[in-house]
Amino acid sequence: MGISPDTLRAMLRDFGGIPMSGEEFEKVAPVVEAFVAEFSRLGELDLSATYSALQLHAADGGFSHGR
Amino acid sequence: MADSSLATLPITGLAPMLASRDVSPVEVVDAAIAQAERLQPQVNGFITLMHEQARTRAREREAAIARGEYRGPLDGVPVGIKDNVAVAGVPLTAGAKAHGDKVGVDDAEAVARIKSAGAIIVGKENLHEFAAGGRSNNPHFGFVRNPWDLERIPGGSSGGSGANVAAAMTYASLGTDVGGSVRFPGHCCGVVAMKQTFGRASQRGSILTWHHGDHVGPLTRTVADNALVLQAYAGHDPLDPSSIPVPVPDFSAELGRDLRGVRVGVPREWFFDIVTDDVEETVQQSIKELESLGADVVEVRLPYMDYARSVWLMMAVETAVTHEPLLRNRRDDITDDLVAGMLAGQFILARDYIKARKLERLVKEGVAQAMQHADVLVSPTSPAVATHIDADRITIRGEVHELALTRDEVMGRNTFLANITGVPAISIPCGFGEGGMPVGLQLMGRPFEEPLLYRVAYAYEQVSPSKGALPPLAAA
Repeated sequence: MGISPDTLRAMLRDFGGIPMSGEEFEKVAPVVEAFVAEFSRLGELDLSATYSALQLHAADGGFSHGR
Repeated sequence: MADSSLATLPITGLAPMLASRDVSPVEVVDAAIAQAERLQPQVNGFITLMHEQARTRAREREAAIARGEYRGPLDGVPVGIKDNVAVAGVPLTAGAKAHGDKVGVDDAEAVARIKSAGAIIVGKENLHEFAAGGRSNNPHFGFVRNPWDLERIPGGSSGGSGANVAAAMTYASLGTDVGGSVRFPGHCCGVVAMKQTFGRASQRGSILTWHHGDHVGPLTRTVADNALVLQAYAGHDPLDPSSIPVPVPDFSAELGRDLRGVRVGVPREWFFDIVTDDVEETVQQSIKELESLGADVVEVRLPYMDYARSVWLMMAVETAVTHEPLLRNRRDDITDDLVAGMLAGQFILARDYIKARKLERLVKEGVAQAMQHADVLVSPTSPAVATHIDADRITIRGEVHELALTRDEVMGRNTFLANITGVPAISIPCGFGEGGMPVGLQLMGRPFEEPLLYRVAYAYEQVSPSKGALPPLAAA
């Protein structure tokens, strides 16, 4: 998967991020691409029934994914 | 006693001498200052030297001890503080030019507590810029050098803290650890380095990047010293919501107990997948020693380790937010590579962040399950010994790894688990690898079971080939 500087430029413009120069977009793009690649691997896991680490629930002390 | 002989004592050796007034805090501080004046030009472990303040404080403690007001084993002991942890009235740089002339307003809670125990601050210590890397090649305050080999890194981000303890410029230092930043310098510099349970101590007063996984942590030359330092600053801080109101045990209580009945878990996954021959050989020998000391060595599974780095990447989001004012107003003062890493965090989707939080729970549960079968987990602290100071990649068993924070940070692959799960972890010297460089053995424990970690670490320390070893320049 490729993240182009133009994609980042559009995200920054439309979502109001921290401004970046053209040169910075070029440097940041591969870093973001590495992040996205890492996160995309989480698609291999079914996390739908897993509680977030931040959330407490009544049965806390057991396990969050059905065991 | 010659200066370096006094400076190289462990705290446990020094404290009785201070308590009995055989030596005074003034003599001890002078010994530490002499060591720093001799070695700081080579090691560059300090950003701000506080020698005059330290001498003033030493005279105060000398008078107090003479009045019978001895406060315990840290009283009169010179310590260093990583320069992202505040000391009132002293510059607070976090190793970053971008912080300008920032000065600590109040002592960080951990600093206040060790000062209350009588410790004497001798300087603020050099680190990787913003504590955001493992090399401590600081472009603004100079590179920190490893006392075992001045052409190698001391590790990071608490590189000055590890180097100063190893070189006997301090008896102990307080670093910070968000992914291994206390333990990795411990590994590289051959000193004992603890990251206690998340919530065991206050974070308040430190410039931290990821409050969810960052910790103040002690570096010392011995395990017993380490327990004394943690004892001084551990405990609930009602002004820090991340600290947890649990009783503080005696961290030294189990030192000297044997290891019979202690189950030492060797993870099947991850921790030995990428490791150099010399480090693996050294650590495997240490595991045999633990067994010979009476521990039961068992194999454990740690599911989800292949995904776990995603949890740590949540830090990238917080980094962008934490440093947003500096990124907007002082960006030219920040190293380009760090700027790119910081800015990248703003592009992580909330969806991915939440997935990482869910994964975090699974990883924590996996560790908890492993800890049903083992009392401590053992691994190399890092896959290789300290690299050369200008290295930007490392080859491990034929595979090339970039030494870049935001990509494949191979040197920190064994330490970040303790940060994302919050469990306590300690690195203790366990011998020497390539080039005669120190190797660290990492022990991870259950939450709030630091006394057991110290027990195992202490027992191992007594038979470690590193016991009592100092870099030659420290004792010169």
